[in-house]
Amino acid sequence: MIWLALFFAAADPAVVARGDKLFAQNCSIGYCHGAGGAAARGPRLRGRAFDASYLRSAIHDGIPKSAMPAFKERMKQDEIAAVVAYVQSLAGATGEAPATVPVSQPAPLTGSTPVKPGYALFFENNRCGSCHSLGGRGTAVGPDVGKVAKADLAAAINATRSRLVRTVKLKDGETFPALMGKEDGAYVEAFDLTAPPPVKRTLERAEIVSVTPASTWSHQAAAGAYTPEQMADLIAYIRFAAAGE
Amino acid sequence: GVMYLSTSGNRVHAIDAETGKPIWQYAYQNPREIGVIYSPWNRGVAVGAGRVFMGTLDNSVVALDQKTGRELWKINVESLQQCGCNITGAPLIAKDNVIVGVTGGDSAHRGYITAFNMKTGRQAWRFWTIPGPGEKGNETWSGESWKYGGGATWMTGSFDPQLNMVYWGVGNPAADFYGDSRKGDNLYTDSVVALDADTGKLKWHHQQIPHDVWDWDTAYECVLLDLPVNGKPRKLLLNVNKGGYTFVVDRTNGEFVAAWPVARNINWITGVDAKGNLLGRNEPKVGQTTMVCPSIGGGRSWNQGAYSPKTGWFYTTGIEWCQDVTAQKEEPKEGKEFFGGVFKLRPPPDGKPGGHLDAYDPISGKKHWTYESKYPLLASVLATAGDLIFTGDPEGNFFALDAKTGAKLWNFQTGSGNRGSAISYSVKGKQYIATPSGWGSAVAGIMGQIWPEVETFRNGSTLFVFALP
Repeated sequence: MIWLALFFAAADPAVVARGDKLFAQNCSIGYCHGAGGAAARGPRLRGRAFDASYLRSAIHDGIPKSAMPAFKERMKQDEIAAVVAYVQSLAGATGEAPATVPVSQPAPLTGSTPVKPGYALFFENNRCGSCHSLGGRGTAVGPDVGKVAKADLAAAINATRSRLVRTVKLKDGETFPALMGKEDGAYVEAFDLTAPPPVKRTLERAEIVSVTPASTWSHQAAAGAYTPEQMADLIAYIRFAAAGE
Repeated sequence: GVMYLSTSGNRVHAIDAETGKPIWQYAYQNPREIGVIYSPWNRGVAVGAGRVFMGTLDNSVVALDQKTGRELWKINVESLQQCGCNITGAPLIAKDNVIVGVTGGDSAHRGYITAFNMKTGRQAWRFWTIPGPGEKGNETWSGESWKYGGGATWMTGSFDPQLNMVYWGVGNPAADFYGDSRKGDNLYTDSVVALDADTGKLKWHHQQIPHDVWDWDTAYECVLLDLPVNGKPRKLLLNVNKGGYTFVVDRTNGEFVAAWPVARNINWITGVDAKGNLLGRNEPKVGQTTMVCPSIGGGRSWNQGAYSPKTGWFYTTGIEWCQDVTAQKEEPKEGKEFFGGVFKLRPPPDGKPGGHLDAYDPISGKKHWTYESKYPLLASVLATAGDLIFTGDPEGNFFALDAKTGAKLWNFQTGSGNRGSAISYSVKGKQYIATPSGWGSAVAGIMGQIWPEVETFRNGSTLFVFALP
């Protein structure tokens, strides 16, 4: 049904015109695609025939391991369909792409970062986000804070000890606090928590003397570092982001 | 006798430098979705403390065992989604640390240079290229613009062990072409910064372009030269910017020494005065189209030039091309594209588009010879003690010129465009010249707006090594 709708949409000049505008606002910007689908950092789209389902997938999900981002959270389905229709309309384009023309500011994208006071507290300056992921951002090394009950968050943020953190001692005398990761034959992964951001170290089993429960490690940047207002902002943000952006 | 090199998508290869036989290969596992425009390229690795270091497309650094390629440590410098930037430049090693920059400047983010201990991977220091509130220089950014002002540190810096300083070129402020929301000089964008190698603290800075609205990154290589100026020996630093100007400063204190152009078609300024100030700025306007030369591809592209102590000359490329730029008002969205305008490339008004390689006096900028090229030369330049200058072109030719005259002495067709950096090395007393071949990149893409045929140029990924019989 969706594909049928797209097929007919492609033939509608109003949809193509809408796609043209959306393309200028979101695609032929700066260093991405060229005006009118001209060659740029992205490949030339003018004068080339593309399959509609391929275009839709490339726009919706991005192109894996490439510069092409996913627009599924930035554009609505009908907007993506309009851009697909526009790019398909360029298949017969010949000659020069249109000159660079002033376009209005790109349309506000849906799903952009919510500005909440707790956001900066969580993500800036190697704080929580260097070790915890939340709402698709940050580095997932520590526990998923989104799953911590609201009543337990303040205590978790201020925790000076953790049941999960171990002290790793190596043969050369080095010791460090760590969250243990995968074990694979002769190798053991340990996330070194000495200072944020954590370092994933892949150690040879033979170089490890001992792995023991940690006694002194704490949330260095967090413990006691926040005013009651900041704490409230931080918890509010975590709850907001965990509920889905 | 082992060569280490990277290829796109964060692969590392260890190769026997005498025979070309592969020793080990490593493929970094990037996440499926990158979606950051500075992908999927990589410019190289660094080797130290028995490890091979590489920055990645998801903004991490990995350390590999030099002998086996096994991953020893990995650190995520900053979440890719948050930064909207990643690492494509080769790391720099200074004392116990491996130091990396980040891409960006065309996204809403705040740039930095970060040092990690080579052995443990722990962060040693970070220098933010944009000062935060309360720090000196923050007043050069209006409002909250410092948070999303770019200042990427794309390339590899230089280290002077005697002065214990690390030098790094900092890229353009964001948004690229729209500056009204970031009023002020926008420190330390478009500057060379000198950092204490142990602490990352700023020792001095020299800003080439205050309040850039053209996307003229000052992020290229920092060439360290010890030369006399007016009869007095000086410790110098030479840096060519994307706007096509070379700046020479005293690397002990950042004092301006000289500036000279590497391209003929430059109209964003009329010149540089005796103190290093820009004259006659020609800025893009909101909603109006302005012709700016060179194009955003640069009066010179990113790969490095070469200094020959034998001739005393600096060899670098230049490009003749322009663009129509239209600035537009734009609001930042963290980690997302932030250009503030659009552009379309065009040939220069008074001549043909093209490229050239030139030999310059590094202080006066006096040109000794020019080698003309049909297309922009995007590969690095290599100067050897045998008075040869090597580089390659987009059509696949890798060639040698006479360092004194520019005469072409030798040419080899590699089958794909030359886009990387050639090196000279020796094993068991025998000298080799190696060059990668393989067309592609952002600049290769935009070239299609002036030379549509480059789209049909063959891709490739080959390493060629040459030696005398």
